[in-house]
Amino acid sequence: MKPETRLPNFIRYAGVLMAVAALLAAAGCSGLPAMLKPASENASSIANLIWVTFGIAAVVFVIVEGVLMLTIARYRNKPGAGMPRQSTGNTAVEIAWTAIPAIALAVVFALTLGTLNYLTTAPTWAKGASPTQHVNVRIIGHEWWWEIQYPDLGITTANEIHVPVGADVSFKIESTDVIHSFWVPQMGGKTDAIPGHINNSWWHVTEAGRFTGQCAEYCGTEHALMRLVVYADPPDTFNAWMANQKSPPLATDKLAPDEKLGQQIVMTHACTACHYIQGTKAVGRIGPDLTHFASRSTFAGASFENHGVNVGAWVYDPQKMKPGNKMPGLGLSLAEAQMVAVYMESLK
Amino acid sequence: MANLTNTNLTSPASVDAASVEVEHTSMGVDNRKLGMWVFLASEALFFSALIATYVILHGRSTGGPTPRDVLSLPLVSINTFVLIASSMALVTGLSAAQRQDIRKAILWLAVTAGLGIVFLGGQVYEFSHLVTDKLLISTNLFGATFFTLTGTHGLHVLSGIIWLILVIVQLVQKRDLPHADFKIEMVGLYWHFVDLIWIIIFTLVYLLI
Amino acid sequence: MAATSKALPLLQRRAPSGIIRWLTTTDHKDIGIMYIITSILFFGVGGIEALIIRIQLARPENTVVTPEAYNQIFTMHGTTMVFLFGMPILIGIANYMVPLMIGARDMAFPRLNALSFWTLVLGGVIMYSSFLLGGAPDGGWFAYAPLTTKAYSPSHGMDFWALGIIVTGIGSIAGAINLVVTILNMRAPGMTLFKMPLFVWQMLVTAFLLLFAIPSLTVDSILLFLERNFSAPFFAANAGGDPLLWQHLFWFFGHPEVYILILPAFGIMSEVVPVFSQKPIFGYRAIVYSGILIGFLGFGVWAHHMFAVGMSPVADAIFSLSSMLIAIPTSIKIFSWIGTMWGGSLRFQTPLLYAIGMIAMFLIGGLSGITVAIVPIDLQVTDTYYVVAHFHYVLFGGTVFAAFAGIYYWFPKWTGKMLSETLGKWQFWIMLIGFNLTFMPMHLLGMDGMPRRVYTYGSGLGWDIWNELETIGSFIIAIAILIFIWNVVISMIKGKTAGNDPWDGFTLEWTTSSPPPRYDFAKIPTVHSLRPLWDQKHGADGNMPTETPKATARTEASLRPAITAADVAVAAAQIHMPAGSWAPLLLATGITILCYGMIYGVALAAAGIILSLASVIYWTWQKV
Repeated sequence: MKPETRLPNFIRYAGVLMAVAALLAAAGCSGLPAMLKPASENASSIANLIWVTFGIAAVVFVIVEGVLMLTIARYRNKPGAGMPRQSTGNTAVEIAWTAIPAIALAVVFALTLGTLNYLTTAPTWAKGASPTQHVNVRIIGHEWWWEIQYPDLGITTANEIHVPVGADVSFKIESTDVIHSFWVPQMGGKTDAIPGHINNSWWHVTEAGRFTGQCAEYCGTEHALMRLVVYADPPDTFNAWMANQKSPPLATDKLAPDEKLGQQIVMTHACTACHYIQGTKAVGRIGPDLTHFASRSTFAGASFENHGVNVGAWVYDPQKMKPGNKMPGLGLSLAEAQMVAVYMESLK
Repeated sequence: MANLTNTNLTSPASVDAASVEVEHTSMGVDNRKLGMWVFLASEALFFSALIATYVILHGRSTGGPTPRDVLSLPLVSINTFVLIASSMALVTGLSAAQRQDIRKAILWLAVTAGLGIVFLGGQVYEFSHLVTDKLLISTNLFGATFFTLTGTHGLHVLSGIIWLILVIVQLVQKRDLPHADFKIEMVGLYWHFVDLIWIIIFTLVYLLI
Repeated sequence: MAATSKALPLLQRRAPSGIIRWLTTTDHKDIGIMYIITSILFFGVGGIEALIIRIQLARPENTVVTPEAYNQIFTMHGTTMVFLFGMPILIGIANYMVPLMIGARDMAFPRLNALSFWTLVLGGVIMYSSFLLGGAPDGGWFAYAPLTTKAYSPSHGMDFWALGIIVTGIGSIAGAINLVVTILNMRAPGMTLFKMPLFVWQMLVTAFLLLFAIPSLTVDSILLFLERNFSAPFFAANAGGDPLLWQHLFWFFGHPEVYILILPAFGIMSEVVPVFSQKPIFGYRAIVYSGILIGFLGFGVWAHHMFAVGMSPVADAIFSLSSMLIAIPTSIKIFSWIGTMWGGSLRFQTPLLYAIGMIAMFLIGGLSGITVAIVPIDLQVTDTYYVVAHFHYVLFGGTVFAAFAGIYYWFPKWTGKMLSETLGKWQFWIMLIGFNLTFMPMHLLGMDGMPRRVYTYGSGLGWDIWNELETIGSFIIAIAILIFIWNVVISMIKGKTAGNDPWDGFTLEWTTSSPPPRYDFAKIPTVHSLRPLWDQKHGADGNMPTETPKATARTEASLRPAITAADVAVAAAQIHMPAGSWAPLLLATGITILCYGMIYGVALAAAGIILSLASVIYWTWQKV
């Protein structure tokens, strides 16, 4: 074998590792990832656990990779050095490197149990608690949107969840078709929505704001466009939202003329078979409830901004914007689609 | 796949090794027999998964018919007896072969295969009655799990019958076939295993739950 | 055995050449080579799928492929890399090396060995033919019901998937039986279990994992096929069935599968590291026992893939604990390799380079593995790119790097030629950089909320730059793989001749020629230690090659029993090796036709059954 005449490998190694470290540092500069910016007690208990375990992992990483590099640097073969000592093991060392990881893991497991216990102990509330203290929410996964019900409040909406800051939110999570997974990283971990099962989850919301989430279990063609939005509202804002959701939409005779035209188109087309709009002929329960459609900032699995142009384009050709979704094209003209959009935007 | 190991292949290394035995470097079991045991261990896991499926989904059907509605215990008891008898016939055949009585061995193997065919016939008869009683694989969970479990077992019995026939033909062809008893022992391992699985299925499906 | 009467049939047996030889071969070395080539081809296909995935995700809201195509491509990427690349390359290496390392002349059941290979190939054909027959599988490699049932996946794709899985599963079981019997029954005289090379040990454990894990997947695939085609409602919630049944059966296979993919890699590491450190493995027995322990624990952790399905907290805690426990035997191995290098005299040739790369990268995958064993953290990161990063650090950083270590190490034995060290080092560094660039940012994306298996993501989430970097990284990996292929081609043409023992090796495979003759060893060596060849060359004490005359005399007499040309002639004449056979290929073809018959009708199925039966009969009566 030809003797080695290159830079020692450990120098190259160090270079690569430094590049990796630089990447991570750059990541740090661009802000913490969502999981480490918790907006609920639940997410923050997990974030704390992440910090601790990542700390332990970082120490292990530095030690092991360090020893590896030291080994590479120290024991590269030198010409004429002769054979190394043929040792086959060292019982004390082996016991140590079995015991130390075991102890570290015992610590990690104890921490795991603590957090797990916290996360699986949902707070219990008497029936009469006010919504700003405790609210029940039923989440139903559909291909590819979320149905959201507040059974105690008589509210049904889609893709956007409003929760009061400072309240406990209890979830019942279900699915009507395939397995989905309900997840808002800044609020907490995932809970699968499984046909035939009802799963529970809960949050204690601590931060106000708009938080995004997404279906996390692959659920078919449009898995990528099955998103959701959480509004953590101060109690007053939540109460106002709640009052609006409970009220009926404008009666037909209060609609503006172009809105009325749009409504007519909706009522004379297949829309009514799948969608529900309170006080109208639209009584379908297959697609999202549209009663307060315009009160939502997004639509179609929280995938598109809710404004007239987008809604018109969607109604004109839903398969173009979200190929494979369950809403068929209605054969409307562009002008008709725009009128429908005008009506939809009136459903505040 | 099981019967593929039924060849008169010599194992090259162990032949050489035998002459210069230093320390134990083999299990002292013929390759083919060891292979068969290993295969049956894997098969045991296969049937465990099927049986577990049956047990887990048991009683969760949303509609009839239920096992009590349609299963006929007398018929299956006879069938079970037939399969156990076939195992005994095979044992008798093996001991005949070990005594070099190949004619008797062939006879008893034929009896084994015949009883296996009777068992399969009984199963076909049972299945056809279940179908008339409106139980299909798609009817409910009982139908799905029952036909899958017993059907898979039936296919194993069928493979065993084919293997038995292959051995019988080999014996008829060549009365002084070397290692005839070994061949019978191999098919016997498989046959007894399938028999044992049936006894578990019979106990679970027909008697216990 | 009369030499002359045996010589002639042997020559006749060697007669088939060209394609016929490969189609009918029962030589473990031929089969090993075919396994390795096939798996590298599938690696290419799976790699191209990965590149398409990366191109689509390079920018937000990209439209290079449709959602349907994307879903098919990631499904086949995962399926290919696990079933058609990962398992076969390791089993292929084992096929070639295990008999050589234990001093055997072939596997226990040569024709069964060929059957294993052909079922792998045809299982892959079944799955990939779906692209031409109405749509590929689109339910993800873990194929969760009910998404994979007819109502939600109406094309035949998932049927082909289930059948392909069953067919490759038959091959895996057959291969595992072969490995177990070969290892337990056919070791050279003197090679007790605790004198076996560690690669052989890890393959033994792997074979048992295959035997006990694959049946669960086979049953699951059968249930899925019956549900899809005969409306058996196993997973249908509205008929009382349970979607979670699929997951339990799948992961009871699926987690041991991870160890099926990593234990052989550990084995390769445990061969390469000592040889290039010129020092025995540190803690041989600890590595053996930890491998066995990983095998056992591997069957008790499956539900850690299911923390989000709503199990009881007690079950969560138990599966969390068992998953963490696996870290202990795994870390013992890592430490043992470093312990082997410590105090050694390291020769930085390509195999060691890949081995060190494996330690450095696998450690990252192992550490992130502990984080996902922690239930609360897993609830956050599961099904995100964090998990994608984790298992690529384990399976690419671990298995693929180790596989390359093995390929660079044993290529001289397989071909008689050395791979180019220069190209090998270029490949290593490019691959290491590309690999980290591709997968390191995925940790971050996952933690920021990017789920896996999405064909697109919104702009303005801050994910663009990382995805773009990952795409660049994936192409850098592709360049590294192209260098490897170039290296193989160029080395086959004008590589240095290897000789029997190019690395100053320890184990029996280096005592025979490169490539070895059909019968592997002219005389079966007798083994007295863990490093039979090393002891012969250097003496048991390394520094004193001549000071242990007894040991030397012993090895001289038995290990390299002065093999002369005459010996070789006699060996070629006297050693009975099984002839080639069409039966395995025909049987695999029959099974495959039966599978197509399951989809396309009774006539085809009957043809498949008849061909299968005919080949079994041929198999039974063929003289070998």
